[in-house]
Amino acid sequence: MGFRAPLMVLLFVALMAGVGYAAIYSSNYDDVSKLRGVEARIRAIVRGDTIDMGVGKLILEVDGKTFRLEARGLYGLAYQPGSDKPTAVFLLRGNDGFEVLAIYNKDDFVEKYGTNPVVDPEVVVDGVYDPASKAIIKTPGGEIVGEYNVVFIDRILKGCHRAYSEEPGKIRDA
Amino acid sequence: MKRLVALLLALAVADALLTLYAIARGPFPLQVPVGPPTAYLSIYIHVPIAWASYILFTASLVSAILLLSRGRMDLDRYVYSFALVGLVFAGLTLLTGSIWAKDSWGSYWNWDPRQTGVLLLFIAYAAYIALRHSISDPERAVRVSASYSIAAYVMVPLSFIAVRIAESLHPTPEDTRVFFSRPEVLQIFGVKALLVPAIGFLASIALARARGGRSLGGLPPAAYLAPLAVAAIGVAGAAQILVDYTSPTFVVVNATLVGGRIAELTLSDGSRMSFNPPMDPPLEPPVTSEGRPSIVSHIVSLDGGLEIVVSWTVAANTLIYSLGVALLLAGILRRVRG
Repeated sequence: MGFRAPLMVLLFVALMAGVGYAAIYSSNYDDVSKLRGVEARIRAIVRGDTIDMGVGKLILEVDGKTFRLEARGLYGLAYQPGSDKPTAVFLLRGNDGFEVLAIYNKDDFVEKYGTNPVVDPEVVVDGVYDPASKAIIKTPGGEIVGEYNVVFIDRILKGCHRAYSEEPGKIRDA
Repeated sequence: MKRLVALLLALAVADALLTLYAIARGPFPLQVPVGPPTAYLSIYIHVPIAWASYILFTASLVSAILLLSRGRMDLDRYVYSFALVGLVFAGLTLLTGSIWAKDSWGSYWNWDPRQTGVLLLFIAYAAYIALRHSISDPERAVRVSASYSIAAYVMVPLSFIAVRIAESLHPTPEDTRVFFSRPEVLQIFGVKALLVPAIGFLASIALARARGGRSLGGLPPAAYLAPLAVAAIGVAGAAQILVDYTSPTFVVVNATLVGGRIAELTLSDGSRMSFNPPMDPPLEPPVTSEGRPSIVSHIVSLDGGLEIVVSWTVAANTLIYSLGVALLLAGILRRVRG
C-alpha cells in the first residue's frame, strides 16, 4: 500500500468527523438566555432551569388575560375563568440568569402528565417566543411577584418526570 | 455453511419469541417523561438493534483495515456484507426510534443529537454501498470503497457520544445503568443484547460466504419457513396489542389507592371510575418509590375489567422489526441457495 491510500483514508476520516461533529453539535438545544435581546417572534427549542414558584394561589396575567395560578413548586397550573382544564406554567432560568415564563399552549397537560407530575430541575421546551407578549404574576392581593417574557410551549421535550432512575414495573399476570 | 445458516435461523426464531415475551411481560420504567410508560417496552427492540448495527459496522471496519493493510482483497465481501447488514439494522434503529419518539418525546423527529448522528451514520454507509457499486474497475472499487468505509465508521463513535457533545433527549449510559442492571430487566435485555448482534453477525458471514461463491445448493423445506415464522410471531405480537384498541381506551390522569388497591380512577375524558371494593391494580408495584400510583399515565381499557393497554408504538416496532428480520433472512436464504 503506497502513501496515497492512507492519506485518502485520513482525508475521508477528517472530513466525515468534521461534518458529523458539526451536525451533531448544531443539534444542541439553545439555552433560554439565547432569547435575551431577540426582538421578533421566533420558533425556539430551548432548555432552562426550572425555578421554584413555591406552593399557593397566585394570579397570572398574560397579554391582558387573567388566569388563576396554582403554584406547585417547579411548575404551576393556570386556569382560565370558567375552565376546569388547566394548562401548565414553568418559570425557566437561563445560564446567564435570564428568565422567561413558559406556558404550555394546550389544555391536555393533565391528560399527558397526570395531576401531579414530577418536574425535573431542567426542562427542554419547543415553542414560540414572542417578545411582545408579557406575563405578570401577582399575589391574590394584587402585589406584583414578577414580570416575564413568554414562551408558548407546543411540546415539552424533556423534564416532566424522570424515567430510568425509577423502579421498573410490569403488567401483572392476568 | 449449512450449520451456520441453521444456527442463524434458529437464533432468529428464538429472538422473535423472546421479543414476544418482552413486550408482554418485560419490565419498564414506571414514571416516564411523556406518554404511556409501556412505550418504553421498545427498549427491548430498539436498543439491541442499535447495538447490533454498531457491532456490525465495527466488524466492517476491522475487515477494511485488514484488507488495505495486508492487501487481502478477498476480505472485500466481508467489508461489504457487514456494512450492508449493519445498514439494515441502522435503518431499523431509525424507524423504531422515531416511532418510539412519537409517544415518548411527542413527535417522530426531533433533531435530537443522537437521532441526527444515527441518520448521518445511515447516510454514510448507504453512500458506501452506492460507491461500492458505482466504480467499474473491480480492484479500484474494492480499495476506494474500503477506504471510504473506514471514514464512514467515524460516525459510529460520534453518534454514540452525541449525548455528551450536545444536550440530548436520549439518556446517557449513567442515566440508564440502574435500570438495565435490575435482574428482572437484565434477564430479558441481556439475552436480546446478545441475540440480535449474533443474528446480524451470522447473517453477514453467510452473505459474505455466498458472495464468495459458496452456496448450499438446497436447503430443507423447513428452513424456508423460518422467515415466515419470524414474521408471523411479530404479527401475532403486534395484533395482541392492537386488538385492545378495538374497544374504547383512556389515559389514567389520577388514581386514588386504598391499601395499595385502586379505589378511584380519573380518566382522560374527565370521567371518574370508582371501585367498591377497591381492586388490585393491573400493575406491579402499585405505587412508585415516591408513593405515586403507578397506573397514572397508562392507557387502560375498561372493557371486561381494568386492563393496561400497551402503547401502539410497541406494536408498530414489533411489526417493523420482525418484518425487517424476516426480509433479511429471506434475502440471505435466496443468496446462499445459489
